[in-house]
Amino acid sequence: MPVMKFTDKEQAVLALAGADLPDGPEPFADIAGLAGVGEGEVLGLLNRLRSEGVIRRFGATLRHQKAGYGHNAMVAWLVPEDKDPEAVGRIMAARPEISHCYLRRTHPDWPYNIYTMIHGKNPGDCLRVAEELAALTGVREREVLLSVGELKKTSMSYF
Amino acid sequence: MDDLDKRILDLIQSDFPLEARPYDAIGARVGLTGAEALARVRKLRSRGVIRRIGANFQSRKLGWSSTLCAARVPEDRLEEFAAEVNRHPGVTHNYLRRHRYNVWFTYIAPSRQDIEAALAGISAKTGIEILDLPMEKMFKIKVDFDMNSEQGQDPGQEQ
Repeated sequence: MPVMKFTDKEQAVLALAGADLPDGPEPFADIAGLAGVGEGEVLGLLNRLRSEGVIRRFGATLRHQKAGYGHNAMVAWLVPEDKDPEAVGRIMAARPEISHCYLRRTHPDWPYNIYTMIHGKNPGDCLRVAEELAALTGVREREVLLSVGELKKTSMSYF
Repeated sequence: MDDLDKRILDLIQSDFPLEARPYDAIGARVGLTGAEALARVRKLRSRGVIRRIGANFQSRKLGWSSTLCAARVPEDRLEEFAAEVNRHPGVTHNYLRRHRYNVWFTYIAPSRQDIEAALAGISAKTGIEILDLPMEKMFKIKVDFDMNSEQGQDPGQEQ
């Protein structure tokens, strides 16, 4: 898939929209002023990219620990050959405690193929959900990867 | 944080209004004036509950590639390895996890070749092998949580 191309002014708008929204009653007019375009162009571009899914979400990002979801665990699952990983992935993705569910390439030293990010309000919630997912899908073999420190967390700057 | 704050957070996590006076629209949904809604959002930002408000791009729709990486890093080399990894703007998340594979990070770049070259560069520099686990299928990505119910409710899958 080729990399999407934007004009210099569009790139300026998207760099600002991908950062933190200006604080004021008319933030898109503020972005327009900084990028040297009209407010209508800013709103037109952002609405179009959101409807196309290029902007998968435009909104507030919370600090989860402050919003009450302080615990998370990444669990890597080894789906055995007699099971369909796509069916397993769909079952796991349906659970509300799961924020991310992906099928990934394996490695000779790392045969796990399905990854789930589990969130909980209390310690123990994540392990309980993992146990329930194992019972639900029959996939038992897994590695629980509890986060013990954040080394970097930022948003990607594409523009 | 009171109930009105929680309702505002629910609204603006998934769908911040992309219109000229967004806080008027938010206020109208929860029974506040635009100025009152803006004042509440401003307070949630200054208290750190909201980390950021803005666009989140779908790297694949932009034509970019991404992957999840893991490495086994000796305790006494963690700082050095993390610094080398975090130097790369394509690394957006990097976590220390309690596991023999103790460092897990994401890498986003315009192409697979860029990612492979960058990972090879980190390995050459540090002598530490890196597992490259690109996504083959996404079943779910959801980063907002329902603030008003006991468990996070799925507000609809994002692409």
